Amino acid sequence: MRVIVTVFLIGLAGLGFSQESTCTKTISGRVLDIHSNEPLAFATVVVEGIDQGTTTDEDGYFKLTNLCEGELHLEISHIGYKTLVHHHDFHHAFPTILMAMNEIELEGIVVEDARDQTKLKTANAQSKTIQSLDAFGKTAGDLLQSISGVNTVRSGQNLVKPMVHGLHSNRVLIINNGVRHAYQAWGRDHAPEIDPNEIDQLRLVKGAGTVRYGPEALGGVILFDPAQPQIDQPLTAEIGSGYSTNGRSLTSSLDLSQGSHRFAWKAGLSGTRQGDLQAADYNLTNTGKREFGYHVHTDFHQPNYDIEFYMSHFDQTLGILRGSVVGNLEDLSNAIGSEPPQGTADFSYTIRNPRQETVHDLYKVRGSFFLENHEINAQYALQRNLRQEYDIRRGTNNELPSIDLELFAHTVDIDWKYPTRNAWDGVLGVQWNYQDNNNIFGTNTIPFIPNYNLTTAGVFSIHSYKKGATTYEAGARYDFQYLNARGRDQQNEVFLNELTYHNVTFTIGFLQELNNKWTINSNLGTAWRPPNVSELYSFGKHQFNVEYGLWRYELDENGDISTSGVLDNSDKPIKSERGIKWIAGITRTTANLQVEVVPYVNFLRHYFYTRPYGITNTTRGPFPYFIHDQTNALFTGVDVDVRVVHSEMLESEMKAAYVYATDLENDQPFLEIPPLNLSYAFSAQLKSWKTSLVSEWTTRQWHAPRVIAPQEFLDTQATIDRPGTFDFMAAPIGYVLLHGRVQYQRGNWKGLLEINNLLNTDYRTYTDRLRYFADDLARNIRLGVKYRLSK
Amino acid sequence: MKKQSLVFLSFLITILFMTGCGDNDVPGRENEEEIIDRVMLVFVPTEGETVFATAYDEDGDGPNDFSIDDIVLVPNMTYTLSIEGDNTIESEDITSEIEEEAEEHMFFFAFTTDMFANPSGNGNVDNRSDAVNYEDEDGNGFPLGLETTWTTGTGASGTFRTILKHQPGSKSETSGSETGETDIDITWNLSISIPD
Repeated sequence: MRVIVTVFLIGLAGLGFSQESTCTKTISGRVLDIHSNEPLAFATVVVEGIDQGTTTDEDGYFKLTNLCEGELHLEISHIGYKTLVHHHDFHHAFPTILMAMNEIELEGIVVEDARDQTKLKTANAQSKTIQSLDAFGKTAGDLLQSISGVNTVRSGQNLVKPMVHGLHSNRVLIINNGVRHAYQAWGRDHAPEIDPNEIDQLRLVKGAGTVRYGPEALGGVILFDPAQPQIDQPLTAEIGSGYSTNGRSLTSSLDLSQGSHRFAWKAGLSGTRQGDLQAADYNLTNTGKREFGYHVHTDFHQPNYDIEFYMSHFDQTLGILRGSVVGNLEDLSNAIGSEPPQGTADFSYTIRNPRQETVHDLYKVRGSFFLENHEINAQYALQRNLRQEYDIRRGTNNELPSIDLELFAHTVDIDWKYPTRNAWDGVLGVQWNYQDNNNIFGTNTIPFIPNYNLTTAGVFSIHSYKKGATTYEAGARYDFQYLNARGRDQQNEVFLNELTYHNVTFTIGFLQELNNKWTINSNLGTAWRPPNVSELYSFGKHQFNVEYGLWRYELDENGDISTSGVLDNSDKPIKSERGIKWIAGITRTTANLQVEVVPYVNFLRHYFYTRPYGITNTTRGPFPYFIHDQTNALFTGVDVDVRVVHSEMLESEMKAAYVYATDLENDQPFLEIPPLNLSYAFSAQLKSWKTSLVSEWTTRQWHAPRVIAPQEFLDTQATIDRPGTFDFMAAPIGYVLLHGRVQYQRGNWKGLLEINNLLNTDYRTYTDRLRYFADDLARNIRLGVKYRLSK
Repeated sequence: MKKQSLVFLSFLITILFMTGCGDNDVPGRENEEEIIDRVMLVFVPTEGETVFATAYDEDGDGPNDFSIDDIVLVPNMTYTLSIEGDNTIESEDITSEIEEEAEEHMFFFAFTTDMFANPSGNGNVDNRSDAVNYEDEDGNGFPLGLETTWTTGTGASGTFRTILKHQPGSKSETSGSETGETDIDITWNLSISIPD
């Protein structure tokens, strides 16, 4: 495999580096009003320094042709608007220029196409810019929630994992800063260790993104991008601070940036300290957190190439609700019935057990080479991920983590985007990823997952063809994966295993502009993932269930279970999970009405899940036990987003997301699928002020598994219907939340006042594991200020 | 330009090969200290034979149920009950750990109503203030329960439940069996009868 990659690389290196440059370059873009988003016709676009220019058409589009340089300054002007100068280079193909009227406080801005020019065009990618104050006190997962179709699966407010169309963890790929985020993705309570204060842009690919981004993208792909260092920019410092009443959390940040003509740099640092959070009626004891992160980012820029270095560090201590610790089913039964939760105490910043401590370091070097409209991107990244989980244990073991893992990951991504020729456009790429995961000795408990080394290599190619108003797109990918696992079974005996997987995936789609208002698109893509180590090897009690991984149990012909040995691929071959996802979009874009309707159907074969299999009596009392198994699953739903601009000042936005998920083999629902969610936001802009009011309605999840209360197991009334999944508690009832927000931006000042859960409603969230133990968050008032200093 | 690109690419390829061969470490042998797989009750009568009863869960968190002895006591006798817990995988004595952390632990008992002459009633699982004769206490003067005394009645058969709760920071004069996390919860069959 490595040989193929090498040949491919050398092949790439030889391509297109010798051609002469001629005056054939073009720049196209669009000019809009920053407030109404209406196209501005007859705006003047001039190339600085040379006598060349054009004006925009009725729909605001412009195109400059026969340019000699790919890198230049554009000056955009329009009567009644503030004139704007934009530095243009090859990284950003299609600038959207948002002009501000003379009389308003806002400055015009340029929104550039994402740096990633190799994205899937037909797979419903959505992006969102994070306002710098939005991230204060939040998690990276929280920031995604405003995109319809994205939910979070949580274990309390500090452990938040994004969920796309009902799927999460190993089924949603997270790309941080262009690098596949390497972490203990298998754990439902392992939130991605990404500093929310560093995120500038969020992108979500709702279609199956495997062909472009690699295995595990069954539900979708989430891309977190930091702000890029900008060239030709004076030394700028930005200091910010935020405070939240709920949790009394304080966040501070400092960002510095500077750019000369050929070199730009950016550095930042931020920290958060949060105490115990509060539900409407009581404290959530031990839910504080501490976070600290910094990053340094440099960009060395030449007309034909660009070299980028990046490093970041993020350190977290995350408290977990004290009352969520249970030893057996009776404890769980007590906990479900007890409000406030056990161990509830007065407010404190102290974080005790249970808690998680994580560190994530990322080093990256990236080169982009641009020659005769060929673009080659090569990137290497090193990640180090540490995770320690502290539980409530006996004696001195309280000071020891019960899970202590160190993960090193190396990733190499190389892609080549060839120039558009005869309406053909496309990209070829290779990806290589190596992970080395080790248990750190000294936990005084047998490791929950084995040590492993995992090598993944993939080659992909995606091409598109544009004919008239229609773009067709097709792509294919080959992946190879090798896993070497070494662990300890329950008798502390060593087991070893090696595993190899191969897979081919494809994507096919089209995008059609029906007229200047309506666009439709459709994409069909396949995705896959091999079983992860916890699905293969987990054994024993985890939280309040006992579970056995696929290779830790055997069933005889009578269905009787035995867990005496550790199996391997020859005893019990495990097929990879394979998904095929169809996604479509119907989009209307006009100045005062934007509509997006996105239906999808995702069919997953050999879907990994756990199912109850029996009840075991232990010295701690009885437990239902679960086995890891595979089934066929269907996830289907629709996301709707409607934005209406009522006037220059007022606008409304409505969102709806619904997902229906079912186990096709056993004809039953899955646990923790987000219920129907509807929201309506009304906002008003007045000079430097923007206010909005959001009401959010979440229904009960009616399509939920049956309920067996823990007490039924204790009274030995419960019987396990073997494939039949169940929940210990009924899905929480529906609720309506109101949020209010005031933003201010003037000159160098930015301010934010936000009130979440305005009415102090008590509610529980179905996708939060803590729903068994406590209410969700009470009213929170968040204040944030940023000041920009520029020399 | 061409040269620079090639240097860069060859740098990447080198890294690719360098890191291709990783370590093959096996996780170290940890002392498994989480499990209590054997619990033994030792009833020492004021006169006569000591009664032992053992509950042993050979497969730990595995799916098989544990083996458990029935307890047979003689009528009208006072017994001192000591409870011992073990982790047989590591031959680790849990009893001493509990003793060391007496301020965080407490045993609770439930039994068929009026099975014993003393304590009477049905034990303190349902109500902390109900009678159980604790013979030991922690540093704060609260009962622990590794040692208790029991006087049998004239004869009965029923169940005897022993619960060990871990109550770090929450053990108090009034904290009951619903407080804290469960370390042990075993229900035994108990009969009080004249031996054959």
